[in-house]
Amino acid sequence: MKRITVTTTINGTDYAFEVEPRLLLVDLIRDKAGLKGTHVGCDTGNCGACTVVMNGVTVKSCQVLAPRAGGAEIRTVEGLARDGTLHPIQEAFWECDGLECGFCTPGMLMTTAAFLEENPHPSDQEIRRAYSGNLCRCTGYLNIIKAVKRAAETMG
Amino acid sequence: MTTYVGKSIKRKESFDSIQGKNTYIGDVEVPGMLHAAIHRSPYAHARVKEVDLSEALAQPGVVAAMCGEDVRRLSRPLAPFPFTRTKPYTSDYPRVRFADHYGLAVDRVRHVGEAVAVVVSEDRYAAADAAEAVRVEYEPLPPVVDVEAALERGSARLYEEWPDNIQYEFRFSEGPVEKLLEEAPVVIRERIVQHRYTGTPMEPRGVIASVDRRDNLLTLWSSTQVPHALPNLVLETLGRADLKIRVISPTMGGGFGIKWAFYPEEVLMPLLSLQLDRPVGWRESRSEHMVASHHSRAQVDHVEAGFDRAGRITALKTHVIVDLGAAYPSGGTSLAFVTANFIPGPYRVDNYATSSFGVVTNKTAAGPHRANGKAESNFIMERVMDRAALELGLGKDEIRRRNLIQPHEFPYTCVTGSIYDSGDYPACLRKALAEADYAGLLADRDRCRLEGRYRGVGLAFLLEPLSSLRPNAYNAGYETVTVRVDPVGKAWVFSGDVNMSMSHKTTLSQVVADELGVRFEDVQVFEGDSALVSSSSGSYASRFSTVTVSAAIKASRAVRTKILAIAAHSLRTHPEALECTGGMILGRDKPGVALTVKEVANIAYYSINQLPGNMDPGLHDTHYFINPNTSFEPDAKGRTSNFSTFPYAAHVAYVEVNAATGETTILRYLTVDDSGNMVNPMIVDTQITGAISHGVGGAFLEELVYDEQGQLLSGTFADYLIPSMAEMPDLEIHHMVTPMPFTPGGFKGVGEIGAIGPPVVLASAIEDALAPLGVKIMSLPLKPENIWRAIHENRGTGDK
Repeated sequence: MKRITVTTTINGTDYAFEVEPRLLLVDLIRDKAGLKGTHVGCDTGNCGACTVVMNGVTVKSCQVLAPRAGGAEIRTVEGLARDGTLHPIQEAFWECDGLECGFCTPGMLMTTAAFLEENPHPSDQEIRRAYSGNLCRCTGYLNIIKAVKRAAETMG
Repeated sequence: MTTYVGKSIKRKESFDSIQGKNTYIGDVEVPGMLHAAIHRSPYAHARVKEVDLSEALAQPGVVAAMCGEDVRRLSRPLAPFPFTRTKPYTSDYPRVRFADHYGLAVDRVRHVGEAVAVVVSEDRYAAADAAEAVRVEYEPLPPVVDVEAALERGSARLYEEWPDNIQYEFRFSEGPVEKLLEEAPVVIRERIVQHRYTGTPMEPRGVIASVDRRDNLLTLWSSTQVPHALPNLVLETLGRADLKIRVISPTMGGGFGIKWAFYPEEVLMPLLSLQLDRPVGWRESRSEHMVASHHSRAQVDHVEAGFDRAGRITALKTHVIVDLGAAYPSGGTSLAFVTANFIPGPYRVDNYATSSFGVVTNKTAAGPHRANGKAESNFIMERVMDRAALELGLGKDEIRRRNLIQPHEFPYTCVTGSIYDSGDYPACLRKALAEADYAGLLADRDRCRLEGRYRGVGLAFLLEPLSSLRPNAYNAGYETVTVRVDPVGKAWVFSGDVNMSMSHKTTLSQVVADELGVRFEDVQVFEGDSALVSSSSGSYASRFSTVTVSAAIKASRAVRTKILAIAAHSLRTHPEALECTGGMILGRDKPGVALTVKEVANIAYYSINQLPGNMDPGLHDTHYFINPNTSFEPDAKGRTSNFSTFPYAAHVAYVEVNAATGETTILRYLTVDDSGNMVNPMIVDTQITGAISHGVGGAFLEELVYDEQGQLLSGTFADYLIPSMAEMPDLEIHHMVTPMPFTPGGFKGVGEIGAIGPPVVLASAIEDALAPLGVKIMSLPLKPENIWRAIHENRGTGDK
């Protein structure tokens, strides 16, 4: 299959990859850039485990073809902590026990990163609506709601 | 003594998870690994006439392909699971049949999604293309879809060598049940239908095999809950006595019982790796998962319960028909056994008769899912109690109060032979009613009824048998833990358990730190690798706190005894005069640090001339902790006791049903839970919350729907809906603590009980809400369309 070059920025680092045009963004992130924190939990865009932030908005990276990320700024879970210091969102999820197996967690965290930019002081109802595209099978979500509110408080 | 146990300490596991640093099966990279993709059957039941691999093999990057005939030539049928073939079955299993399924279907397919061919490529995308290029000629056969029709004479059969479609049969009878039912002034007779749903962990399965020919060592990475059973299962299936197998179960993205099985891919990858002399890996997609990983719950139950005028159960008779799907080694027969054994639940039932069938159908194999057979047994009994309350004109609380086993009766041998360990059921019920303001809810319901609003109060009392064993099975029911203090004074814990998501690292660190007297941070926990300990029953039935934690306590105590003996010898005192905390050894009556654990370790490993006479060097112990309170051997009535402990809970739900749409809104949801002593209350509450979300999904959303051709209609997350944050109710979680009398720490277990409650208590609440319309709820799920039908057809659900 014909290959094309995709240049993209992930967590501030520039990458250029020769890829099949059909490659999914999630596989570019995981297999080409080697960032395994972004997970694949379904193949229909329902579960949100593959959620990353692309040009400031969340996308489900299993539903995006890699060439569409050409020239884009992408942020993944690996980009949250800085110089060994956890991001307040990460701290809040840890503190509030907003995770168990951790498989959905990177998607939850990236949704939180974009959501709190847009809505820094969300209500429970707003959180419940905003996260309906991120499924978690372990926690039953209530601690995630607490974590999002905790993160909102600490981030001011 | 308890610096850490009983405290809500933040989880060690979370540190990597929140940074995306866990290595799940899909993240394991083995150099030179080839990628396998599987061609799966589009038919529920068909003869496989021809498999043509030529087009697939011609695809770029493809290095190999196999069909069922190849697998039959190279291996044996999949070994049975969880039973071993080594011994005949005891009365526990009066009748169970195994079918000869291979890693790939041979001659015949028996469910949609059954593996028919496998292709191997240098590239994962190319492998998927090649799997689509496999050409198979099928001759469709009549599918067996309806489980009751499968039992009829003349039904098509799945296995020609069987006389019928019954894989498993269990019967039990105690007391003059028929006579008592005839004499009872009130008899409840119901047909109950429980639907097919499953665990759907966020991480689908995956398997990688790699062979080291020098050592004849096959390393198998699998997202499995049974890494210690797999070496046996794979060797038996491969028929290769020359191989050694090490199984690694990496950090798991949830299991919930779905990864407790022996799956075809776990023999296919080793087979391919041995043939090709390269590592071969397969990663399950979600669409595959929905048809290739096991399902659960589906059954039809007939129940007859006699009550006296005082509302006490006099006799109970049940007939359980479990829809097992195809007879793959998925452990599905336990659904029929557990359901039938525990329908009497938390109530005093002295006269009980049951017949329970596990019936094969042309569907994906059934196996355990969080609260295996227990979600089902509790649903049956609690529906009966609600109906009996109505018949007798008693409150739902009152009829339960009159039948619950009393605290002075523990340990209580239930009618089917298990020994309920401890508890105070009436106190739990009282607490739930008080916390819920039950009377207030009833009054509010009545007020709303006058306004034409359909509100209802649900009540359920739940019993969860846990930490189970089976004779002559891989789940023999003990756990192995090694505790070692290394030469620099750090504690290492090696467990046979698996990290499915239940915070084992944190809990074991808390327990071992307290028992040894070292710091939480100085405990390192390893699990999920068959090389760590000699054997393990794996991760299932909420058994970790019962057996794994107990084994860790016992091993830690042995090591601490040695630490204190060495310290006492060195300090010329008695061990009883010393205590150990935070890695420091202190005199009980003298202030100040006498020695550190590190200094003692130094003696134990290096200055061995300073050890007390005859003491071996080193600080380590391995403990095998056997399921307490159980027995393999049948008693005089032919009963075995297969579960160690019986946590319980009372759930209360308050709902409003929209009679125009059938939609239910949960206004309040409350639980009072007694899981024994808690190692980490925060983790306990997260487990309860997560389990309740499974139950909410099962009650309202999740359903594996098959059409009459045996096609799965809800095979993706777009059709099979698991609860999102929007559907999850707020919870009020309360506790009671009755320590488990037969474990050293008094711990029971908590992974599953929450999953039992929602279908039970929501059915109770919805039936109550719709009581003015005369609606009876005898089937699941409680989807709006089902409730709407029940309202508008003016009959109960389940009355088909």
